[in-house]
Amino acid sequence: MIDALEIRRRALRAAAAAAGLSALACGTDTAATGTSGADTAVADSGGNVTDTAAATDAATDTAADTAADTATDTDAATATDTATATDTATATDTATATDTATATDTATATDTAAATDTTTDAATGCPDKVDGEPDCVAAQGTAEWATCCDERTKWCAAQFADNNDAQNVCIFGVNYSGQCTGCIPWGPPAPPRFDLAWRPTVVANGAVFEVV
Amino acid sequence: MGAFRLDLRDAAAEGAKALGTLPPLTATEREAAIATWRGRMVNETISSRVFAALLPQALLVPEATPFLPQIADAIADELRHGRQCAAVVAALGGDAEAEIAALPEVPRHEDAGPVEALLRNLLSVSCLSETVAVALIGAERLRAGPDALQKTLGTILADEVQHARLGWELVAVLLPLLDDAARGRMEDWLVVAFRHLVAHELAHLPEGPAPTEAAVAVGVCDPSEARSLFFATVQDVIVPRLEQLGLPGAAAWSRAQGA
Repeated sequence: MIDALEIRRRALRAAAAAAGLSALACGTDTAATGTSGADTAVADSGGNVTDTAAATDAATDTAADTAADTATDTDAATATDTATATDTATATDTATATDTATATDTATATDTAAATDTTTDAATGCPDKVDGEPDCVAAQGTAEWATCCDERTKWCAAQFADNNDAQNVCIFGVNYSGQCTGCIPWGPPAPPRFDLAWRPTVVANGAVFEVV
Repeated sequence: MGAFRLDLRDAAAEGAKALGTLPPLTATEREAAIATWRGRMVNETISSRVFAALLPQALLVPEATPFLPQIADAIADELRHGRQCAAVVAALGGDAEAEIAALPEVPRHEDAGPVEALLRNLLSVSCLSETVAVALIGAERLRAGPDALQKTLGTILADEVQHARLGWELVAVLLPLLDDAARGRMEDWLVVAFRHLVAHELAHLPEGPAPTEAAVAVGVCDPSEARSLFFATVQDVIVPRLEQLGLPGAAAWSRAQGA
């Protein structure tokens, strides 16, 4: 039976080997003490998985463990909350958003306006919920989460029946993170758009629209 | 991309025979396991479209030509993973089908040149998401009980390793092609990509009680441990590797966390 710490070490070594980060793949803290053969760990050219790194290296991985231990749920919550706060609209960013907007972005911004509320919760940076809107952020981590997102999908389809883009924004949020809607697209995410995901506001048709 | 129904029941029935009988579970454990593997079935299947979107981007960059077969392989890999996960759903007694509401389009980054646009998606898809996937699946494989599930997770892991490597290797080829202005924009892009990654991963790993050992043995992950491993992977693997490549990974990660 492999203990949890060893599982963690091997998983990190696997990721390090995949990334080509040889020091951690060797299970050592520094490149200077790294052993040879790191690049053979995890998977060979034929895609066969091995545990070479973990099996051949008894070195401790203090750096990895220490860093991992500091990544608490509190950090996670802070990171998420801060990102939300940073995304809150400011008037000064409007000009930049306008300058960089493409025709496609502008169309999306219009959709965004249709799919998001204009008032915002100061604490979360998320638009206030409207009557009847399923709150799937609150449902996350409960058995009702999937059902809630199904309901939200139907609700958004009813709200924006003729606009598929607006439906997507309504379900997932503007940058598709689900941070404010509670619902996320299945699967490894499609990368975010640079402009809308990063710019806190966008301008379309002469008006400022807040990005979720 | 609009809503659709994913039905892999036929493929699942065939694959389930090869998996044999899985260990006994309570109704709650079984339900959690089916939900987990059904989610993976969907995740893997539809992520094929993300790699498919990389292909036309890569075709525009001559230096990416040697990597085109690997990108094409990744598309097929993800579809095969979907069928493998569907087989586990069936072996657990579930239906390998799901309603998929809607999917965001993969951005083409038309504001950028071909190299920068491809780099943005590669960094997000392969260097961030797939590297995290390697760590998380690697841990799940080691916790899996039945040999059949270990083997399933092992073959998926092997492919995910190749998908992550594809990204890191191609990024190393493309980065020297960026001019100073484009290179200067990469930190801002990484901030966006990191925030996106955190939001996505945390949403997929909602806080909740730790699963039973029996559930863990059939692939149900402990969200608390997985979250911790996720952050360790970013901090100890992704950020240092980005720095090795000359990208401001540490600064971007710090900014992404609001520091």
